Amino acid sequence: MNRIRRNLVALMLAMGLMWMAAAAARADDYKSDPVHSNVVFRVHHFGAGYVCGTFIGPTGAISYDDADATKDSFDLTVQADSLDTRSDRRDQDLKGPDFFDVKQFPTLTFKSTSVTKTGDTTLHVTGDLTLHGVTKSITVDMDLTGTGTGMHGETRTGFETAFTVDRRDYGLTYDPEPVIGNNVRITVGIEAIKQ
Amino acid sequence: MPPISMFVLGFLVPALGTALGLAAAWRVWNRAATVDGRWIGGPLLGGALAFAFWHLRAKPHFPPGTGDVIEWVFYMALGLGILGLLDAWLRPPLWLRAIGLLILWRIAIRLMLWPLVLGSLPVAENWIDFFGLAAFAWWWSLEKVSQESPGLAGPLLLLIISLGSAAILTSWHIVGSATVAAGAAVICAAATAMAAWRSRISLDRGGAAAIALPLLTLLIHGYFYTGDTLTAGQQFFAGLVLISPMLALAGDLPFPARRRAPLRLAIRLAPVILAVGVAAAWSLHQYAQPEQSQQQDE
Repeated sequence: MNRIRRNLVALMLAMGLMWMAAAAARADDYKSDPVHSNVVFRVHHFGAGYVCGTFIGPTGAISYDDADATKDSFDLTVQADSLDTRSDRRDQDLKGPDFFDVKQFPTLTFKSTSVTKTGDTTLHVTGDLTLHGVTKSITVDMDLTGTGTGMHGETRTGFETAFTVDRRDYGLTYDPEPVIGNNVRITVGIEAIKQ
Repeated sequence: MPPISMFVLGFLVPALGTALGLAAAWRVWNRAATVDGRWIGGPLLGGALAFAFWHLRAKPHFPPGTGDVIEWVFYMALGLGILGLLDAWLRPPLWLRAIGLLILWRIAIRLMLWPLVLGSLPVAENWIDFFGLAAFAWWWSLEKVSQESPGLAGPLLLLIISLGSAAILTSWHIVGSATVAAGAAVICAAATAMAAWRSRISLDRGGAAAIALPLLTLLIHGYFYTGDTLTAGQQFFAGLVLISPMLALAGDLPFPARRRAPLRLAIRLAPVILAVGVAAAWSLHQYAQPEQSQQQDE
């Protein structure tokens, strides 16, 4: 009887250790907080100044492991209809079929395919960016901007990246340079809540 | 300001090409010429519109992707041009032309709407049938007007509809399509100028269709693809433009049909100008409403 009890205790201990090991091996799961996240884009106008716009969000899931970047992943979505350039008329133009075509392509997405750590707070993220129905693989440098504790004790971690895309690669060809620049600078800031 | 090449290649060259092509085919320098230049209407106007589309909107892909379905308008203009040439040469009977047109139209509208509508709108087939009828009505009205009243009536009617379509599309915030409609208006203005000079010029047998049906396609595309939620007013005034070609048939009623050509032309165009004018004025007024937070146009 004692032998069985000892075996059971050993088994439970082993299972506990395995569970702890599995938990330690898994990256932390985060959810993007769209209220405190944003996508800002900037594009040259008539070869003169820059016009900026924003999208609300993004929403989505992030896995982040400080020690092992191979476990990291980013799966983010932006609602195209949330576009805002502080001009209703321009927004409607941009949401229409000449540009983002939000009725047909209601979301912009990014799904990472590989992540490598390049420094204490920097990552190299490769993934598929889908914009205007066209998917292209891009690689961006991602900064870990900090970790803090929220009002309800939750852990919040920030990420930021800035990269440039040629809008023509995504079928956004209307009004080419010099009217609207072909290169669009996109800055994505994410505040994610640990689950 | 858009590059000057866009104005030259998108507006000026198609207009000049149209004027010169019509002049050559109808021998406009010879007042007594009896030559029939109808054969050139389809390929000339369709080609001019396709050329304008290329330079005003975008270089078309083939086949257009799901994000570029508007580019089917380019191929439609070319296809209608070729059909117009066959129509003028072979002179098939009306019933055969109508069937051919409806088949081609259904294919074109399906290609245009399938990425958006066929997957999400349960009554898509009804929409396609409805717009098939509208296309037939446009084609038949313009053919009849061009046939019954050669000269100014056809191109002027097309010019008015093009301008109305451009205004409607602008108010729907589809500037790219509105610019193409404006390109069509410039082409029609050139044809109008030639027809004012030589009243025997007629755009029936393909010429009118090569402009009218791509215009209707731009409106249908805009209606489904605009990022706006169209108000009842916007839909009503688009409907006015949609029925406007049929209003020109007023000139075929018994009373005006017996009148002299200028009066008959006025009776044809007056209801069209009224309908399209009101629709365009209202649309542009709505578009020009000052914004609360904006400082400049795009």
